[in-house]
Amino acid sequence: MSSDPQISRGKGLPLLRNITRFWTANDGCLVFEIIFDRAWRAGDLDPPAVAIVRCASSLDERHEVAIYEDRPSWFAVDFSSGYHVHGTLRQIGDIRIDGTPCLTIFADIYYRQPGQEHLFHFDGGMVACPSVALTEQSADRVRFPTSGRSDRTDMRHGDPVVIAGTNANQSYTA
Amino acid sequence: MRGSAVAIELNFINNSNDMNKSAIVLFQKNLASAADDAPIAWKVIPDSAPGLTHRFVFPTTIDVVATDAEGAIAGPVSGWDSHFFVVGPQSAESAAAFGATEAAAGEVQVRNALPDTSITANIFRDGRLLAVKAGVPPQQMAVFQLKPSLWVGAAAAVSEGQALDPETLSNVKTELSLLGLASADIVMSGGGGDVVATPFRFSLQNVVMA
Repeated sequence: MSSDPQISRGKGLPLLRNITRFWTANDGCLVFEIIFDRAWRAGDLDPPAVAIVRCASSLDERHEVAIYEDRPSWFAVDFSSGYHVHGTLRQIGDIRIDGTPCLTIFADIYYRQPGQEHLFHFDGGMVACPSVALTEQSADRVRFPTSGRSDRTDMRHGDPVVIAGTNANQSYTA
Repeated sequence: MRGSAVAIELNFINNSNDMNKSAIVLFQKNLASAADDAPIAWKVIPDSAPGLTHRFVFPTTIDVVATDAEGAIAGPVSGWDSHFFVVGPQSAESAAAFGATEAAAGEVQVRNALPDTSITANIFRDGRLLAVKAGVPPQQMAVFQLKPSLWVGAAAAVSEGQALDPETLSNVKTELSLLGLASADIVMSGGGGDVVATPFRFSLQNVVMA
């Protein structure tokens, strides 16, 4: 993923701005900053999304997790503040939320607050981003059969199901 | 496709070694609530023994009822999680009426437009109390921010519609996201005797996405 959020690396793709969603736990103390890579939709070989795991009380500590569609990404982080989090992240494509096909990041994570022994568990969809938002400005790009989204995500069937009250543009907190 | 009522089908399966037949409590947290507003036990599965299965649904719609000290004064009115409800005077004679329009995404807002009566805003899902905001003064608004997830855990003694006490809350450590789900199993595992006991674990399995 390019360090410049507006420019995709290497393929000459112009000004593809990445899209960021946030998920937090413990009143905002534990932060997952999910960056969806628009260039990936256009054939870029970088991971489709990256999670920046941060702790609000240790702003200079950042742990980066590459997220893929074909496998869960395992990670474990211990922050100097005492926060601990470990688990897996995975992207699944074109899940309908409020009728809108979305790329969704699924998590199976455990986190612990400083000074506590017990772990909290979060399982399921963490954040979502409308697929169309990632393809705007890049619809004219050539897609390569072996890159970008896997074929699996194009083979979903069934009627769309709406989850009312969720908004694909929204950040959630625990 | 907001406007078509659907429900997420959930199936609780007890695969634990729990011999105490613990009750299982499920609830949502109102992220916009004050610290002293305890979550409400939305659903309780009593006497959950190993091998038990229990099907239930999580509708995407909610119902709002406004009450005052005398009881119900308006509602129920159905809507979505992103609706803005107004409790206001209907006529010179009748107490109140509801109106509903779109609200901020992910928020239920209940505005008390009555001139001189404080209300309690009650949110129901599938006919069971989900969240409460008491003492909403005239011209003020109750705000509910409900993430599409369910907290689930074992509890000793809890009833549906009851505010959860701190001890029960401290025992609930699992949040299951419903984002994008059409149906899923909620599988409970762990437990056991004193020597080999492990903490209860709740996870989503057999997930069917929308």
